[in-house]
Amino acid sequence: MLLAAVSGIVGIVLIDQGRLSWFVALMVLLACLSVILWGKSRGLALVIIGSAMSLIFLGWRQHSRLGEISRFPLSVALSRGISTEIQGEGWVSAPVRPSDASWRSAAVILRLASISIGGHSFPCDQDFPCRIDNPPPDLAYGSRLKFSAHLEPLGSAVVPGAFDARSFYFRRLGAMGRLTISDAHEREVLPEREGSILISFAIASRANMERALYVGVPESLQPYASLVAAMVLGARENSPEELQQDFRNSGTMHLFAVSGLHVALVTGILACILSLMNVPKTKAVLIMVPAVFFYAVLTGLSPSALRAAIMAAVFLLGYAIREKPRLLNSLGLAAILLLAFDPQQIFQPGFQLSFAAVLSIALLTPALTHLLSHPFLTDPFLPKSLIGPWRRFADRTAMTLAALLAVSVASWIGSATPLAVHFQSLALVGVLANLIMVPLAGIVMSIGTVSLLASALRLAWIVAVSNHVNAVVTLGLATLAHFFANLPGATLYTGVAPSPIAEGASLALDVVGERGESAALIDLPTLSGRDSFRMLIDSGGERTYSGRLLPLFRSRRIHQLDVLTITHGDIGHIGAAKSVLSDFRPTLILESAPENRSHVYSEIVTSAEQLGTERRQVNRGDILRFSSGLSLTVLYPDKKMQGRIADDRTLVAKLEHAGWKFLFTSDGGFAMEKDLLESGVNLRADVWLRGQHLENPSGSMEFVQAISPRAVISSHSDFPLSERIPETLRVLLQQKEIPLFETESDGLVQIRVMEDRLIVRAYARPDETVEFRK
Amino acid sequence: MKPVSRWSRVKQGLLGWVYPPVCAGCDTPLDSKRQLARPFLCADCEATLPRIGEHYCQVCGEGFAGPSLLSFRCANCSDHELAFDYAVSCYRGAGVGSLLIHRLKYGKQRHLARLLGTLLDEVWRDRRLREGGPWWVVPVPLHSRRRRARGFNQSHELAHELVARAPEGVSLELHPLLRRIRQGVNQARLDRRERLVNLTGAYALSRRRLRSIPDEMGILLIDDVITTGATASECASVLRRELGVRRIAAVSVLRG
Repeated sequence: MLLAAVSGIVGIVLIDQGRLSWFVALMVLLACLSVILWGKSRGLALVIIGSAMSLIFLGWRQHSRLGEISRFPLSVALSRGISTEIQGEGWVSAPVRPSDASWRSAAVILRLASISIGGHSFPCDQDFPCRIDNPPPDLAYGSRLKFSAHLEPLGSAVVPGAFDARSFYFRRLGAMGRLTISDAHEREVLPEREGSILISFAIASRANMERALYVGVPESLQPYASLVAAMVLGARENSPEELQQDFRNSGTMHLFAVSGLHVALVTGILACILSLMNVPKTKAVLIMVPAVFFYAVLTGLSPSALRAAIMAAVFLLGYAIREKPRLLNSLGLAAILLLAFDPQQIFQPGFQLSFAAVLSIALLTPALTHLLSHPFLTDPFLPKSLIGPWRRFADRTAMTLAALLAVSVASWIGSATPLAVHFQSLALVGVLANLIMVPLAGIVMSIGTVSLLASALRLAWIVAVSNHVNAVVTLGLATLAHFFANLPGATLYTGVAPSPIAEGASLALDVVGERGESAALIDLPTLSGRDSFRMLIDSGGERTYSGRLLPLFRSRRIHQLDVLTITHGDIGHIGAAKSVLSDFRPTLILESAPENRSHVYSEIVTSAEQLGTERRQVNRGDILRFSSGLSLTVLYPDKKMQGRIADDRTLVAKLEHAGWKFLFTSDGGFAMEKDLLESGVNLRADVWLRGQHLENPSGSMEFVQAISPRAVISSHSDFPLSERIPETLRVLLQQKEIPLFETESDGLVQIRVMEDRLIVRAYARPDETVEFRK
Repeated sequence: MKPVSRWSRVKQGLLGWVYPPVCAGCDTPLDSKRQLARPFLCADCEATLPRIGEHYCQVCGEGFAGPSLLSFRCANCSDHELAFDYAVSCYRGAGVGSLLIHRLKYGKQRHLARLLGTLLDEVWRDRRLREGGPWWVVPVPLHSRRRRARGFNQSHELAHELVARAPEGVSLELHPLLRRIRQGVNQARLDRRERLVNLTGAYALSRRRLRSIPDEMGILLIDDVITTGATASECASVLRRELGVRRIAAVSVLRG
């Protein structure tokens, strides 16, 4: 089955890549092989025939799937990047999730039944990701919706290594675009219901179970109760991101992905209960197999949960009919079944991680266990009667520890490649962290299951006590995750973006940001890679940090920063500074002299004190010289300035390197521009990097003339209005033919200082690169 | 041996994709034909199984290597009273045989009961068994605690197989008449003298079973391994005492 699965996977990939000739050649090769082997080894010939059948079947499934996707009435328009307004009907085919914490908008998957464009109606049957602003309160899985919406193509990754919506939704749903039902669009929840009753029941059950896991947990421990829910039920949407980040960095994020560990625990507990009820094991299987599949449905039908459920079913049924299940064969069977259902799953990280880890465990664990335990075990030739009880205990302990370590190492090795490819990071500490945390997570899941059982039996005090205990144990687990995640060298970033040196640049400046948030990375590389200098000007908010800045760091294999500059107290500029401090440990924080009244700032100060990071206030006129001729001149503000809002006190500085000048004005407004113009300071710069003031317009003609930039990089967001680039500035730049780069739509804006020229380019628009010579 | 039907071959062929059969002794893959004939054991491993053959003690079943034309009682069992009439075993407890029993009992590899069931066919070489029927097949019981831990009673599994594979003309019915009421020390850890006393009072008649059996019915006690015969003897004595059974034979896969 494993060989058949591998062959089927090859078939899917070849069809996906349009390599039909290779596909046919492989088919012919397998057919010839089976003919040759038929007379010599019929068993092997049958295996080859099975592999050929799997190749043909899964290849055909992928071909059909791609055909279904391309049959969508607007597929050609979407592939050409055209957006359009549509009317249609469809139903919600997955649980409704909030887009933000306040439920101002909901993220749903809509299965379109029909769409209508320009009075023409087209039937269809495809899932699309959809954002619904101010969602109707009765919107739930199975709701049928009549709507008008904006349909737009999905965007690719805007930063190397960042989330690629186009690839993700194409592979996951077969969707080529996304729908937005904004306040201006019509929406009506129809009385009819669609979808599966089983899934509706599972979603309702999961919500009830999740509530049960919070009962009796004090408010201070609620975040840890949410981690328990994530571990037991796969309900990750309510877990705090910062706690999840620690698990991610310590290589233990898989604890939240329902998999073999969870399924084994559920079957084990069920087997115990049925055994206590004196149900024979062969009959118990008839209860346990459907229960395992219901658990997979309950936890969201993830590939890992389904894989584990199929493998558990093979194991349990094998026990009942007295057949011996083989791990690798069951893995192959699970892969074929899942891919037969949806061949596109092979391209999803969850599928790859789950199967690669189990394959590695199956192949490597026995040898690794032997290797690790061998030096500590008693001589196997020693008669058992001569081995004392303590020695036997020591042998058993050594075997158990070796087996645990072997599984941890094997799963780490198996998941290393998919993690490096999809997430550009490898948690080196994962082997050790898993060794300690997996057994502890097993305890958490067991207590969680006890709590759910007690809740079903209405034993309120057991529910409250077990939830409280579990939250405390999970607090310990989160502390361990934090400890491992923060060990030096815990995570290795494996990104493949070229280093500035490889591009021939002596200075790299990368600007990211979305929805008015902003962060700029200055990288002064050295040939050896040692003694290079890296400064971050603002961290962006958590959204920019996790979605754009962190992937950028990972893709560039950056593990440490030298300086973090915080321009002002806007949460969109310093909201993630605490994370930057803990993740990248800069040795110095530069900040403007006037008082920073932001509540985030006080957290940054506390964090810096804990980490021993030096803080230095800079004032107008200060010149800071860094290595290799890089200097930063502070132009604004003066420490005596008392602006009403944070944007009034923003730090304005000019960065100079190899004769090139870059002016950072952040969110400074009209007052800052007036002050600088009146001060007579030289504002001339090759590139102007700017943001939007909350209240005042900025980018006056005089100010632009004083800078005379050759390119402008600006934040911009359609909403709120205060984050928009002033129209007057846009027109002015257009008149002066100064290229404008917007971090919202352009994603990562890269500046490269070469020997004799300066390059500015947008990652999302590589064809619109501009180049300047001195 | 019952002939293999075409349907069985097709079924095994399909099942083999999900549960590929391999030899329990050496992990060699097996084809469908072999799996149907001797599940989970390749021909090479089967060849290493030491058959007891035609010459064995007419009471305890202990094999005798040399040639003998007369039936005999061995010195091994003549010094103590056994409650069963005679015991018949199939193979000596050595080589791959011990490994199979060990994997079935301690490795919890329940599927091996199918193999050991086919190996039990060997007991029908004994004319007394072939012609002495009808039989009620009674598995040697496990204590409930041990059965729960193991998940099954290996003797019950073997008894099930024996009944399912009964040769033509032999009438067999499975009746688990006994239960173990005291969990003593594992017999495998005791020497001969200790084994004989360890089991006293360990077995009783099952609460939910019959209080008498038909007069013409013989009892066939099934165990995986018979070593001193103490276990089978203790079971037989309970059956004789409580139900007044007159004919009791014991069969096992291995003779320890």
